Amino acid sequence: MAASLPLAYCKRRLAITWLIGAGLPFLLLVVQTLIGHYGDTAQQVWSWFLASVTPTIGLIVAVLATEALQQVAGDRPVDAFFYRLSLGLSIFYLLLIWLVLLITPVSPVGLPQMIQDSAAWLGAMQGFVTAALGVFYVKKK
Amino acid sequence: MQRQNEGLLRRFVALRHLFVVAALLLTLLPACSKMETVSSPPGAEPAMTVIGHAPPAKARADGVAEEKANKEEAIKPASGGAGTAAQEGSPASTGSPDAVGYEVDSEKKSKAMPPRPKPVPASPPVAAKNGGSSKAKKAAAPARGFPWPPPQPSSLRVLQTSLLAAASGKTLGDLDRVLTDALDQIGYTDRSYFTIPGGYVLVTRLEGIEPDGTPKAGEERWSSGPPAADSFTLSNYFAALFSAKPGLYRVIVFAITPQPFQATGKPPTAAQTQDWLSRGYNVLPPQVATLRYTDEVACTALIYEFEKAPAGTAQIKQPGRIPAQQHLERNRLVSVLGG
Repeated sequence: MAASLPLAYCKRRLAITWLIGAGLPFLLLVVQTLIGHYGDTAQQVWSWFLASVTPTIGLIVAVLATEALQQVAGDRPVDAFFYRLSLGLSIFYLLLIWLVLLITPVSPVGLPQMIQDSAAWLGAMQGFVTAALGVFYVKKK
Repeated sequence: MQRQNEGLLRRFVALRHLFVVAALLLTLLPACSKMETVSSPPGAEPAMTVIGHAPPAKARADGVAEEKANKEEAIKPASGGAGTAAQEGSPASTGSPDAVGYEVDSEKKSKAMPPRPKPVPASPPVAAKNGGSSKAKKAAAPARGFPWPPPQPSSLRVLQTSLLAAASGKTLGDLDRVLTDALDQIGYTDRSYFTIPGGYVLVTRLEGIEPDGTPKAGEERWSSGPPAADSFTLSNYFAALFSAKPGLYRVIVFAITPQPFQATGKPPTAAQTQDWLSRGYNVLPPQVATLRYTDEVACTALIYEFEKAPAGTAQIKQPGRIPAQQHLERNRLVSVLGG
């Protein structure tokens, strides 16, 4: 395997992972909210979900949008191991969000309580993921 | 070409990882389904967390402050009559070290209650009988109680006197026996009592009901959590994931007093209603049981209805979905009492 990968390639792969990984639970929440599954806790659930994914998705989309209109000079190589690590952390984080949403029907703990309980470990994971993705999406001269 | 092959290889490796994780999740989910839904005790509801209302500690603190301020007041019934001296609803008259009376909101009290005579220091007959003024002093500090005037219910109904005719002309203790015998027959075995001006309040347990007011069958009637699935299947799981059918619950509170009252504006939460059940007396205090059941005494059924979305919290319904009379007919109380 190659020891380095093009930065543009890494950005696109990570963007696709995040858009799919966050877009599907977004769609699920929209359907559940429209049918009244969450009742009075809908706002709390959306606040939690959007706080979990919006910062990263916003960063990814903003950077890609900026680069779409600019001619990027060259394509810097990125350590392949670091790319795989970032991708793995992103997938793991998104799966944790999926887990919170999908395990509720079979868990005796209600979703509001589960959201409160997950704040600690999701918050920590979000920090790791953001730090890793910052390498790919923060502009450096 | 080599680069394309590398790309394909990377995609394959990534897909392989995803399949492994998905397989792990699918094996874990059946194991989770074997966890039995714990039927929550009345005082603790992990599956029905109530958000948004201040915990009862503040109400308790306010109630204690109010009770201390109103310690010397004796609230007499408007009609008077026999046994007036014993009809002091003040917690000081209960004669018990752990007096559980009622919490009176002074602001709302002035709006809700008719003007009362100048308060007179209570002279509890029970304490006098026991011959101990020290006991009366010990009993003068009630801990906490049922909010009076009561919180606004979803609906209410004054029971027809003909339904309680078996106790007519007797005492409130006889009335309580008639009522509790009927409640036992229809399943309301968990109860608690609070004293109020001129009478008492009887609180029943939170129960699950159907949309027409019929109590749910089996364990679902008294469980505040989601119903346990018989088996884990994908169809059951997706049905639970996309369920929108709300759970319906109610608490029935019987207020027996000769004094007319107006319910206060702030409705209770489901957790508060369960708190009432665990806080009250286990039996009707004897000093209330000996009060006369006169024609002025009314038995009012206050119905507190709650609705809970599948993944939401219980919210009180005001007004209720169905009238109070239908609640009392559907749970067979009216028929058991002979109506």
